[in-house]
Amino acid sequence: MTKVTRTSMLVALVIATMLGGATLITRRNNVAMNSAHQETPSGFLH
Amino acid sequence: MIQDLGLHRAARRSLLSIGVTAALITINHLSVLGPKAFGLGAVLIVGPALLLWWFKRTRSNVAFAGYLAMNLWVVIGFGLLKGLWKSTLPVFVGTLLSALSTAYPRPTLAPVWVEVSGVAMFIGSAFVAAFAYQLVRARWGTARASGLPASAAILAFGVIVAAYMVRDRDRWVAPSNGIVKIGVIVPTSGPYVVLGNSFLKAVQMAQSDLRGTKYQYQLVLVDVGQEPGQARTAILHAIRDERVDAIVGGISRFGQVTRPLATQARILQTCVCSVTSIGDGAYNFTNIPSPEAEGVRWVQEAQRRGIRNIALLTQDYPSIHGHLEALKVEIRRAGLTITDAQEFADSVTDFRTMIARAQALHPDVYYVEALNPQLDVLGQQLADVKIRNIASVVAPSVSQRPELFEATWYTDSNLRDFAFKTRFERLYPGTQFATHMMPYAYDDFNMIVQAFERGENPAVYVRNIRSYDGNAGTLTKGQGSGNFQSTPAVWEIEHGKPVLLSHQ
Repeated sequence: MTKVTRTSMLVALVIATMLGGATLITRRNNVAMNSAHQETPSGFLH
Repeated sequence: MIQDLGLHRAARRSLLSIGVTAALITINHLSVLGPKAFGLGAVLIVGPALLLWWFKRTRSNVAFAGYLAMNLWVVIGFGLLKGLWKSTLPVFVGTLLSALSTAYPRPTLAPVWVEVSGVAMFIGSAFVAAFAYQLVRARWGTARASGLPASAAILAFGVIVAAYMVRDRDRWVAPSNGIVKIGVIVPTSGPYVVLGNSFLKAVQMAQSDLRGTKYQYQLVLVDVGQEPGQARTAILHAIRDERVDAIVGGISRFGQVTRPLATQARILQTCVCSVTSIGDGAYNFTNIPSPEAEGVRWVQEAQRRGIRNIALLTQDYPSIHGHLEALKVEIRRAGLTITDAQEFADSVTDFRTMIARAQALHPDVYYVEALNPQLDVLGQQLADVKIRNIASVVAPSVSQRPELFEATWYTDSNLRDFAFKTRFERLYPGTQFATHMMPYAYDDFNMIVQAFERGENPAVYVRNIRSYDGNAGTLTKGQGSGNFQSTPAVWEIEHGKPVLLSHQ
């Protein structure tokens, strides 16, 4: 394995980790912050 | 010749990185610009391609400078300012900081595809910068790569992350001139006028009850009108021009409008709102019993009274659906039976056939829930056939003719001290005391006061609250949650007036 191949693989791994991590974090964050769904009022008139 | 080959290769890589990054920028901007994002993408792809083509043909310094300027726009404008500052740092650093300390808000993130394309935009712009650097070296024939740009980039990145950490933290700021301005966001006209006015009175009562405070607390009434668009303008005015320090609100429809504005301004909104998604646990918090809590308490009371069979007579309305769904879950869990379930539209005024059908199955109790005027019409027709075994959730408390519901029991918000209601009615004769709202409005105001009196940022103070002894009993909130939970109580109409039967 050449140095260039190794570096390319490392860069690809970092990118995949960043994008995968961003997907997981954003999904979990939006669920926790109630951003993922819309509701209608469930109490009396409000 | 060799130098030309190197230049061509660097130019190809540079252009390819710009093309890919421009595609990511287009995707990212679809949420904001809509189809116009394709126009932006076209400019970012065609512009550099034309400039590079011009440069390759003429070796024009103007074309080369123009090409580099486009690169700079992509790297700074989209990669750093948008991709890094608005997506990558909030997603990774913001989330980490909020997990470590409540002084940092959990970041408000866009949908997954927007955030991920934002992060990808930042990564793409790093490639654009790297290949642009290679192109510059090839252009001027610099053979040896310098380690300086990489070190400078790492240092700059560190500075940006540090700046983000400083900016992201919510800090205590003493109110100017010792006056805390609290925006009261409720409609004072239209269908919510009764609730809006009584909410305002509850907050005014809380304000007048303050004694010996360090700061002065001033209410800024924000009349939000009846429409969300109109409300947005009024709320923005309160935040930007009146410079309110915190907000108390009372109707979900307007709480939903306030949520992004309060988040953007980084001020606390507490809302007596049943739409739980308003409470994000960062700057927005809701405070009212959930339909599930009402359902649990209602079934407990039904079992205590030996009720086994229930007939449902309810109006087709979203708020009522919420209660009914939760109630049905608890009824099934407790093994009770629904003998009959009838729902009516808001145009129905003759309920006699429905009542007769429900009556034929001899239920132990009639669960009735509707809004006025139907509530009182239905109450009258039930009274006409001498049906007195009625139960509900909240509804009888908003009846204009409570005597129709004599002996009806229902769940509604708890009151730690019944004198609170008596005092309110004495202070504001003629103003309806909406039990499911007033104690929470009073408590919400006091939470804000406590934060300022303790010298804490109000949003951070409320984030840290796990339990609060308020007028509606003990409120609880899970870590990171934006919703206060409370246990409702059982009420009964006696001599035409609501009477609190039980405490938690």
